[in-house]
Amino acid sequence: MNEEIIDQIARETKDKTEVVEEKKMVTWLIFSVEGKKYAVKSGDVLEIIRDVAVYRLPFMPDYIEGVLNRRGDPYTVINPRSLIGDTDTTPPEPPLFLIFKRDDDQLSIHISDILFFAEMEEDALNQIPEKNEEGFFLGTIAYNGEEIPVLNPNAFEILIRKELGSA
Amino acid sequence: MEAPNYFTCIAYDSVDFLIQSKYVVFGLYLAVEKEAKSIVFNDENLPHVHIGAFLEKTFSCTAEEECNVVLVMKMQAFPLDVQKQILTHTGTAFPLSGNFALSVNSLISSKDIAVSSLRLIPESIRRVQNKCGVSAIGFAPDEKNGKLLRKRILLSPDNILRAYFSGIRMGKSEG
Repeated sequence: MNEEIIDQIARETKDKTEVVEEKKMVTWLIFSVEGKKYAVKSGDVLEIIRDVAVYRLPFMPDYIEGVLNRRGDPYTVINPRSLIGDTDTTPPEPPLFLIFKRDDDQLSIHISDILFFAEMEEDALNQIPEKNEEGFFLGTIAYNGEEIPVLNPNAFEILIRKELGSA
Repeated sequence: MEAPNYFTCIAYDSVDFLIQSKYVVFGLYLAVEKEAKSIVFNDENLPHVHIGAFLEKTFSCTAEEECNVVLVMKMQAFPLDVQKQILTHTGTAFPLSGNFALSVNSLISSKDIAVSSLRLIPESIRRVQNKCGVSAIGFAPDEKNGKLLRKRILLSPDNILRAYFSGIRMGKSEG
């Protein structure tokens, strides 16, 4: 007897659920490299490590500083400055590193400071048109009137594998 | 037979190079000319390769204590291409024993190290590192400064020799 209204309620509930799904939130980690702000999805970051030494390895490209020791495991340390367009490519001074969450590699980048976390709707990312997975930037997010470039962690691994023949 | 986790450890200021002891017949302190292409040991004339300068330059390290250390190894443990490069480089034939000498300029010791303390190199840079002789890496407390960690590098003797000879061909390393 109430089929019609039950269907209607079910439809409305579904619609509401879909609306909630559309508004999926993403937490961004905003950090700096020598005064410039960048963002990564916090889900792409496994850990932030401070005050550890970088151990140099031979025959590495300039943007690889060496490896760091994360509880006994070596992680490649990338100095991102030359890759993201800085003219001065000196590694950031503070020993502060973002360890990326990777399935098949152990990778980190050397940064200057952790600034804050920002939760935004997923569509807050203004994607770069015609972006490809080798690009170091996915797009930008707007925060307090500022456009913050979003880094693409995949691109670092793709570059290393390409250049070092381990693709 | 030695346990598989015995290593010959060549100690530099910031790094310990480990070579599986099964590849080292003798390790001894012996005054040899770094440039000498052969040395006399046990009444035999052994081909001699000095890799100390190459290690220092490649891995940015310096000898903790300047000394002459000779590692006597068996050519039979090495692939043919490496044997050939040793012959070409030294101009010295392998003696009946098949021994040859590799020398470095820093302290050596024998160490029992848990293999579990060593780790593979991160995958994206592993191939290049393996090619230049780095098979694995570990971090151990520095005996002189407990707060610091020393890098331990497991060397692959054949690949480090390949890298050494390749460096010579490209004019990047000294004999």
